[in-house]
Amino acid sequence: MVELLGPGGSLEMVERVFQAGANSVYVGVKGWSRRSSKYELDDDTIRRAAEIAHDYDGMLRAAINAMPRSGEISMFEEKLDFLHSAEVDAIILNDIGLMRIVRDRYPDMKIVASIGCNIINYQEAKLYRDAGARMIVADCKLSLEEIAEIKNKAGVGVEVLIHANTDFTYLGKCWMSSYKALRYEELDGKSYYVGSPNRGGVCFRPCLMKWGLHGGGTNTGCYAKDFNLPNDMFLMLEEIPPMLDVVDCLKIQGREYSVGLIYEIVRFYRDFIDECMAGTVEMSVWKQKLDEIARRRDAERIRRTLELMKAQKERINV
Amino acid sequence: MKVDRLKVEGIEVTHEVDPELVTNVPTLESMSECSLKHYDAVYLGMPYCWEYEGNLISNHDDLGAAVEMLRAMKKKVYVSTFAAPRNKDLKHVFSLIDKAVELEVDAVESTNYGVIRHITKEYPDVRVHTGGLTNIYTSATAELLYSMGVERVMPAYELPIEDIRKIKDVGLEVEVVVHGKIPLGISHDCFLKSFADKTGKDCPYICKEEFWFRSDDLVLKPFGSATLSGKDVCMYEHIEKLDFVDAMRIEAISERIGYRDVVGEIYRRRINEGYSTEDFGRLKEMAKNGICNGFYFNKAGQDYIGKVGKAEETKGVL
Repeated sequence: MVELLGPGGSLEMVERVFQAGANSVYVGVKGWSRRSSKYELDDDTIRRAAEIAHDYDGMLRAAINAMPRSGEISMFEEKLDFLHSAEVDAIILNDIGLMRIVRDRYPDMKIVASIGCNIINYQEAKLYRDAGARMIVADCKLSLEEIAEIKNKAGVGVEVLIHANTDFTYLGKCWMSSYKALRYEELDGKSYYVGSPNRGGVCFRPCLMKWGLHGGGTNTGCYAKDFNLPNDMFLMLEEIPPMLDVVDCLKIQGREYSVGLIYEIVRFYRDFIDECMAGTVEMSVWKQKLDEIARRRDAERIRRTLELMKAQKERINV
Repeated sequence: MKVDRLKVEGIEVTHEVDPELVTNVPTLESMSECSLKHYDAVYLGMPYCWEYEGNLISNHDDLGAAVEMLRAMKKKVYVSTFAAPRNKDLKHVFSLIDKAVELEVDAVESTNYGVIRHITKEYPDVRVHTGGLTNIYTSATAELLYSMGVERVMPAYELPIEDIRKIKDVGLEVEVVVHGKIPLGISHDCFLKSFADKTGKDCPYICKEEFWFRSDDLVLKPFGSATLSGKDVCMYEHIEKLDFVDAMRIEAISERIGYRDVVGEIYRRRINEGYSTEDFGRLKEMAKNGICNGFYFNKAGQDYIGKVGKAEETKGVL
């Protein structure tokens, strides 16, 4: 049975996502995940989130996937000790060296190699497996055929994002936002990199600015203007039925969206997957429902993008 | 520049060792004895696109000829590999590695953990270097790679100098970019190709022309499936701060022969004779969109901090 994983941008969202039928929820560890701290949870709240998860017979994953500084590895280990004591079921990591530390310190802790690892071939998946990962998140640009080959050859679980976005670049391999407007700050001995998604800051989404294509050297001139660099949101539907026999986990991203919208998305996919499993799915009906959800999602995303673009001028986290 | 400690017949002696000055060339046509004479070692091949015309990673006969040329010039020979291989690409990458081994090159460079795993397992005697897209942020990851047999790493471009030093403390060699356009992202596809109708140029010729993506306060250089910084990272003024590294790279993969020649000559002089106002001025002149420090000082990658420690206005971005 495929696991349905939803976001937990707040304690309220954690509870509602389980009520909507998710098998598991992921939350960001404050100061340590690939999102703004506004949508991350502090230690006490994570402990409570784990209790809620277990009350629903579900699992809680904690994302600790921002790249720390080498000098912060002991802080990472302290955070790891806390997550283990809070009975978090799995942790999401980006740095392969830290995976090895977790594997050696807590062999019972399930490690998920984050989307930021940008795993795009089976040899890479083998190395992450060797370092301790039991599940890897497939890059959004991979086909189902590629995903199946990675899973079979590497012998690891595979998670696929069904609500997320495909960036201009591979996720985890983009430094455009930090090149444009990185700001470094330190709070309580921990470093924060505003504008660097790899290091836990917000991405200012420079790909969604208005761009022009200009020549140089002898071919000066403007060849195109007012275009975005490709960055598209997607909500999968028809792709899901053939995945159900291949992948281990379907993930819905969206810690930054409203609780109400995330509840609707998780409920939609729970019902859709159950109907697929029962073999009674009528695709046109589901497409219509999904179009309505996509409209609401797009409206929230536009507001968030404008907020981030404004924030980059002041180089602040929002 | 760097003090190294060696044991000679049981007695510890110190001696000064200059860092290796390295660059990269994409094709046989871009190799000229004149432009490479300033360098100790050269990386062969353009890692961002298989189709790039004349790419040494795609054309094994040309690669053999290039290796011979470098040997005749008494340079160390390193071979780059495709930066973002999917499952289907692996056989081509492995075939290139077989060829590099047959040619007895001095090292093979990879930025993909799967390829690194393959080389260290199949060819334990081959020297492995990792490139800047490998995402080496922590000493924990550097230790993992060291334990696998990797001998040299290029830390993540986002790291400040103090964190690069922590990677060096692990015990492996460290290489950094001291000048040139650094990659800010890599994708599965070439976005520039989608403008073929507008520019009148298509693959594989479009990359040989000079094009820029320009927005309000940002310039990027598309190059194959990579996006490079529009500004030239320049550490000319600050090179002493990097005196602990083993190799300094002039990143010139997207540049014309003249750039590699002049910049190499200037940095060779900088290493041997010290700072020259005239040389620094020449570097600024050659940077069509201005210079920046990258991330060495925990600032936005496109900022430039001059020797006096103040942010400086460099050439306008538009």
